[in-house]
Formats: sequence, structure tokens, C-alpha cells
Amino acid sequence: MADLPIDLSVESISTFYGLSQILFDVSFTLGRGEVLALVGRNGVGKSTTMRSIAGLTPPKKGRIKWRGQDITGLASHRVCRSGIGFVPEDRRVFPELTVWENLDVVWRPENSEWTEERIFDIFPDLAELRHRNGGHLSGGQQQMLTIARTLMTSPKLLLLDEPSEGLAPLAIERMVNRIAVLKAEGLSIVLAEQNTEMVLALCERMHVMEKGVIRATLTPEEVQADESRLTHFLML
Amino acid sequence: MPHSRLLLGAGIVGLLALLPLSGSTYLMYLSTQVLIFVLFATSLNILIGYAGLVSFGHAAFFAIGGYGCAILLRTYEIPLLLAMPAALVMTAILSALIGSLCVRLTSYYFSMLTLAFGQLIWAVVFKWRSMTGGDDGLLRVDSPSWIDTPASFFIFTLLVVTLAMLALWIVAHSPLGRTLMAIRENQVRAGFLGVHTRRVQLVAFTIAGTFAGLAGALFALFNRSIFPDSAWWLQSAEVLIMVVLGGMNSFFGPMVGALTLIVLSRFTLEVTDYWPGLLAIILLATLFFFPNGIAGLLKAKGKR
Repeated sequence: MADLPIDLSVESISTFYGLSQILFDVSFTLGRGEVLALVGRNGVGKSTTMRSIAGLTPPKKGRIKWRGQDITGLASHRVCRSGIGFVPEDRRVFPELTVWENLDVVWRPENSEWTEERIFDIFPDLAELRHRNGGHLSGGQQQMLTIARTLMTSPKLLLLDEPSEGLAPLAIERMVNRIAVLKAEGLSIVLAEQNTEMVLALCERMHVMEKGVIRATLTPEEVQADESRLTHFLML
Repeated sequence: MPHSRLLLGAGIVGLLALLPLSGSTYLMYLSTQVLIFVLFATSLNILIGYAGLVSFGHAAFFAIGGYGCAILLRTYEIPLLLAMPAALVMTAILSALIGSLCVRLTSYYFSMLTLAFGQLIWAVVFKWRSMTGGDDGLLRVDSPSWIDTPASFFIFTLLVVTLAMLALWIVAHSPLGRTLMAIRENQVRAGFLGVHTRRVQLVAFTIAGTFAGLAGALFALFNRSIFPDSAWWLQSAEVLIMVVLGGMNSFFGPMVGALTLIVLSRFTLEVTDYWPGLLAIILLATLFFFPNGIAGLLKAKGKR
């Protein structure tokens, strides 16, 4: 991965919720077009790392640089417009808007890299549901819609927070498939995930988190050779 | 579907235009009042129904438009066709200024801030005697001769309100309207999807204020006078009740609410003084039994 230009660099960030510190000096970098996974049990700081990058809970210490620009503490809409799309874990679509409206509402003419046609090519299920209200979709469909909606903001980097959560195995398989297509489109992706199969299928590197710090960095090959290196961290 | 509704609207406007043929001054007087409040309530619904921002001070902009138009017309003797647009520009500027402070806060805090600004505007109107006439109000706000009969003023109001409603309909069904709904449903989410939420809310606030100002200007012409009451919080409450009663989840709801409330109050006041009591009962019944208002009730019936 050494030859990829570094797009995102997270430099020893510490993030707090009120007085309690969640992240302790978390650092990592992401190359252009790379898929990186943050793995670990619930509550280790994966989502907080994502939220810190997305501008929702800005870190108190440290810096986040995106394509050379310091984005630490930037308002979330500015982070989004700079090319970072966040898909949170509690997939919540705009329930009273139709699928098409959910997509259209975030589209901006100056950022028209993604069109509805292109989105519907990748998510054909959504094309059939375009006039249905977001609130009437199944869990899997809603998850697809939240990712599709984020794509409409023309991100160069996707932050996917637990996209497999609450989905049936078949839906997870389909999700892995779709994310692989996005990867092939050249998007950089940070994936926070507990589903090992999804992580192994998609990422090039994984950072294992524990109690707000990165404990280890592994490649899928290393994990496939000796699975205990990963499960050791995931077990209670 | 929305187009069939537009056709229905055009039909209603066409029928209303025939109203002067009835020759009834009372009917025209009542209809003019309803039209003005239809516009006032619909402007508030852009904030409540679409942006999810409940304003307790919307009458402030109604009064600014009303006083602005009255003062330009009466004190400075500027012709109506200039005075009215000038009053609107003034309302728009003040809405944007007040709005830029209000949209910094959300939910209850936003509502309280609008109430505070509403009362501030009322206090200015009340105290600035040399300009506004204080609690004596401004009397003899004369319309030009081409609209000084009940019939001609009704037709003028119908024209202005129809155009304004069309403009609001376009706003509500535009990308701006959808963005407002997205912010209403989840402001944080709309934010990280790239929407500058405060700016969009400010645009909505300014549009709502400006159209309330237009209703206020018509109201001052209609009554040939304007009083500080028009900025008082009870006026804000009344228009809020129209929106709730008619149904805030529908574009046409506030229209039904304004019509129902004005007509009911007229007829009730003819037989009893207990209109506020009846209003309270109507409001309670609305909130408990059909929280989506009359429009919601009709929609549910239609689906059945």
C-alpha cells in the first residue's frame, strides 16, 4: 500500500463525550482507494472514531487531515462537502420522503458525479422502490438507501459504520457485494465492523481497537493464517 | 396527484372570483378576511409543517408588513403599488435578521426566542408613538380608489393571495421544501449529508416572514387601520391554532383551518359570548381525536 497517496491521516486524536474520554491518541492513515477496517467489540471506540472524522464529535486533541487539508473541528456539512460521506450504524432514512426524494434531497448540482441512474445501476432493488416511502422499506433496503443517499453527496471516502448490523445473512452477502462494487469504483472506505467475514472479504488492512486505542494492525492474510490473532481481541 | 389539486385550486379561485355577483357585502367582507388569514396561516405552516420549527411570534411579521405598508401609504403618501413591495422588502430584511438569531437554537428554545422577538416587535410598535400611533394605532389607511369598494378589494385580495399561495406551493414542493422536511426529520443527519441546515432554515424563516408580512399589508388595507394587537402574542397563537386545526402535515391544511376558525367564530359570536370556551373545546378535540387536523381527517376518510 506504500505507493498509494495518503488521503486521510488521523493524527493522535483524543475524543470525549462530556467528561469521559473515549479515544486515546488514535492514529492511522488511509491510502487512496484503500479499504481499511476498524474492528473490535462494542464500545471500543469504532463509531466514535468515525464520528470524529465526520465532524459530529470533534476530537479535543490531535488532528485529522483529508487530502492535505486540516478538517479537525469542521462542521459536519463542510466535512461532507469536502468529500467524506458518513453512513451511521442506526440506519435512519427520511421516513416520510420517497426513495427518490431521499436521494434527491442531498444532491447538489456542483457535485454531480453520482446520478440517480448510476445509483440505481449499483442498487437495482432501489430503482423498483423509487416511489415508496423510506419508512416502508425493509432493514436491508434501508441500509442500501442510506449508503446510496451518501453516495449522492459524491464522496471520495466512505465511512461505513457497521453496515451488517441487524441484517440477515443473505442481506449481508448482498451488502458485501455492493461494497465491493464501490471499492472497484475507486472509493476509499473505512469500515467499522464486527462481522469478520465481511471484513476479510473487503479490506486490505484492519486496525483492532480496544478501550479507545488501536491495539494491533493485521492483514487478511495474517488472520486467515492464524485466526486466533483476531478472535483473541473479539472474545469477551 | 399534486396537479389535480392545483386544478381544484384553480376551480375554487374561479368560483370565488364570481362572488361579487352575489351582491352581498357581508359575504365579501368575510371572504376577504378568510383569504388574508389563509395566506397568514400557510406562511406559518412553511415553518411548522415543512421546517418543523414552531414559531410563537409569527404575528410580528404580520404586523411589520401591516405597519410598513400603512406608514408608507398614509404618512409618506407613497402609492400602494410601491408601498406594498417596499413593505415586503422591509419585512424580508427584518425576518432574515431575526431569523438568523432564532435558527441558532432548536425546538423549545427556538419557540421561546420567536415569542421573545414577537413581543419585542410589539413593544416597539406600542412605544414608537410618533411613527406607529402607539396604542391608538394607525387610522385612515386609505386604499387607492381602484380598490376601495368591498368587491374590488375582494378581487384584489383574491389575486394577491392566489399568486402568493402559488409561490408558497412551489416553495413547498421544490428541492428546498424536501430539504426542509429532511432537516425536520433529522437535523444532524441532514448536516452530515452536506446540508447547511441553519442556512436552509433561515431561508424558510425569511420566506415565511415575508408572506406573513404580505398578509399583514392586506389586513391593514382591509381594515383601513392597524393596531398593536396585530403583533401581540395572541395573534401569533390564533394563527398557530388555525394551522393545528387545519392540519400541519398538509399544504392545504392551514387553509381549511383559517376558513373553519373565522367562519365558526363569526357564527358563534352572533349567538353567544363564549367563543373562547368553544375554541378551547375545539382545540382539545383536535389534539386528542384528530391530531393531523381537519385535512388529516379528510385524507384518512378518503383512503378508507
